Amino acid sequence: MKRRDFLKASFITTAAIAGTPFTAESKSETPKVKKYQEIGKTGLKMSDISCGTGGLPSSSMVLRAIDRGINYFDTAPDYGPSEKYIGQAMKKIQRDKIIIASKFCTPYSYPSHLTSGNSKKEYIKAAEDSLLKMKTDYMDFCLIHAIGEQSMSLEDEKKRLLSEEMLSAFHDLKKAGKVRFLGVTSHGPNNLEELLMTAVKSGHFDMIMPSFNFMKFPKIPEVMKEAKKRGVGVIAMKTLAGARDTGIEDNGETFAPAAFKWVLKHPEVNGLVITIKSISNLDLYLSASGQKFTAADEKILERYANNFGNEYCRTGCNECEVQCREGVAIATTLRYQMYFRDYGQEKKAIKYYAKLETKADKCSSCENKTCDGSCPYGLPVSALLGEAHDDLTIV
Amino acid sequence: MENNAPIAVSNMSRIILISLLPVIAIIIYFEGQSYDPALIQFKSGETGQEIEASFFPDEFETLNRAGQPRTYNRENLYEYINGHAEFFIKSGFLKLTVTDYIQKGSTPNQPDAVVDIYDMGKAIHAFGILSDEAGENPLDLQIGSMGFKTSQGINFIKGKYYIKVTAYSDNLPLDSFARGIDDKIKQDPDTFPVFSRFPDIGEVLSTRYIKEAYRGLEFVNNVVEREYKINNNIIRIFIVMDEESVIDKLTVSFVDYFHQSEINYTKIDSTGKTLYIVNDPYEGDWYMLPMGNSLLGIFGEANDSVVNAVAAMEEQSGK
Repeated sequence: MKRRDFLKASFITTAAIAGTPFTAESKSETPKVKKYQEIGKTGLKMSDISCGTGGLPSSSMVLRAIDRGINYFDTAPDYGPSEKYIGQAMKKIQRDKIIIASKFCTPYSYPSHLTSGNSKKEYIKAAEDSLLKMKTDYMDFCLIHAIGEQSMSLEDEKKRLLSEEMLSAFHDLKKAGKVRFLGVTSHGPNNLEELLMTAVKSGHFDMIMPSFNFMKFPKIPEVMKEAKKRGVGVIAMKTLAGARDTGIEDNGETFAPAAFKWVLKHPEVNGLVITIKSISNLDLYLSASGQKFTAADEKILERYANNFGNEYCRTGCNECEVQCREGVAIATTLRYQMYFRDYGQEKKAIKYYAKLETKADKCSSCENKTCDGSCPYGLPVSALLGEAHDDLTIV
Repeated sequence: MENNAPIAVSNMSRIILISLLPVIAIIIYFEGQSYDPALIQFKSGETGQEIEASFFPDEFETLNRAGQPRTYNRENLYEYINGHAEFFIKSGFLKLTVTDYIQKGSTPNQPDAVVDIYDMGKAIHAFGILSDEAGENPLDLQIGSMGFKTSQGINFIKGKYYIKVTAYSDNLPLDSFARGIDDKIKQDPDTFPVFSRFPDIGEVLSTRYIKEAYRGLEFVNNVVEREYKINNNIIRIFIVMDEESVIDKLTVSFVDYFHQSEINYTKIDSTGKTLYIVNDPYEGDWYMLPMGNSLLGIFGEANDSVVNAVAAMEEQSGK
């Protein structure tokens, strides 16, 4: 008895059986990866649009992504079950055809990202635990997770970045064939550019993964140029600049592909990672693969910037700050205001602001507001500082 | 005449009301000028924060609280759990309150224990996060509504809260500490009726809730999935429960999706029952059973006898 016949016989015993096979119609063209680029000097070529796994819904999504041409998967032990899902998919995957990056990290709560205080043994264990979950003998990259996040101190984070224990652990893991390359990620909020530049120049890192989008961190291109010069790969993340209004579109061109194309037009960028949570995410995001950044895309990003750009200080720009004779820490003040207004961290913001040596109250008596007009993004700096001071001080 | 009486009363009321308006305005004006400290509130809402803050004891056995509770919302959760914040937000996250604890007599360079209390809005959302975080082989613990223990700490849910107690030092009174927090959280332990719909077909390995886009399918939401082990085979059964019309629409959406995605399937009909056998290139062969107010799916290494057993049990429980 054939399998289906058996099932029919058992499932329906009392009624007439009508088993109707449906053969799928041929489907319309689905978007696929159209471009691959080498990551630095690693010899590994990644899909320009790649998969971040922070919200990966299932192992089947890994297979769907691979079927669409995505070959780079960015995961971490603290990204929920994503490593497990990759492991479940592994038996159907040709391991050498995909690139897997995970992080020196534990699955436990903060601070799950390993720090300068962790031992070599802990670094090795973190990587080996990831391999076990992903059912693979090696990962292509292991990354320092979110440098610039744990401390506002540049020196403290440099210690984490160049921890002897971590470097020694990586050396041993590489020798054992368990990890091939070393990388580092950063989305700030502190010293993103300085830390990534340190990583690039240190000679220890094969790839950096910065937060990089059309609205943020203007000095990142310098870091990326240095990375390219030294053969260090660059993979972009946080490419949607917050994606506050996904309804923005122009002649059917939508915001996410436009933002991706902007990122990928930079020759230093080898590819980008974006969380893929659904099939429609795949369809939308992959429509940007291998495509040129166009005038229509620029319009969309301009519209986004017009809607949100004049509220958004680009950390690290400093164009206005060098103009201020009073020495007001403009970017820091506006960042604290962002904590106050957008993050709901009023007390923290007020406390931090109180510690600043020169506050924005100087602006009210300033007769030469050189900061106004100096912002390349058109922020009304002195007015914003006045509002920030009001928010951040208790009268 | 009888008909005019109510009109006369109504007119009189209007006249009185209009004449009182200046008096009401004066009262409102002066009331508005008086100082009421309760009117001054930060955006994040002190009341909510105070509720969660009350769950954290100032001290517990060998532990002292270090500093005030910190809160995170949907906008800045990524500062605390970068990379996974979006998943929490998708799962219904509203607010996180975090407090550090240090051992009495130690220097507060870093916390010895950290307690995270996530307000997930609904009990089922909290359950979703707990089941997601449980990973493989968690050690079940009788705490709150349900919980588990790892080498690093204790995770549990109570009502709408998901609580994570993490140890960073050895020899902490972690169990009793977690239970102390459990006692302070006054929430009704919710029950999940969908649990009773799962068939008893083998060893239950895990149960999880998926709020949106189950397996990446955007039309499949509010799913509970249970993983079983039967003779060394792993089988996953998912159930969506809703009104019959919603389940009907969901079934149609699945069939549309099969057609659009080049997925072959076989439909077996009988009186009031339908079984879909789906040849899915990504999920493998799987089975779908719309059953009135629920839709059930079977993934994994299910053989035909398992499918028949599940169908029979579902038919019984649906009666």
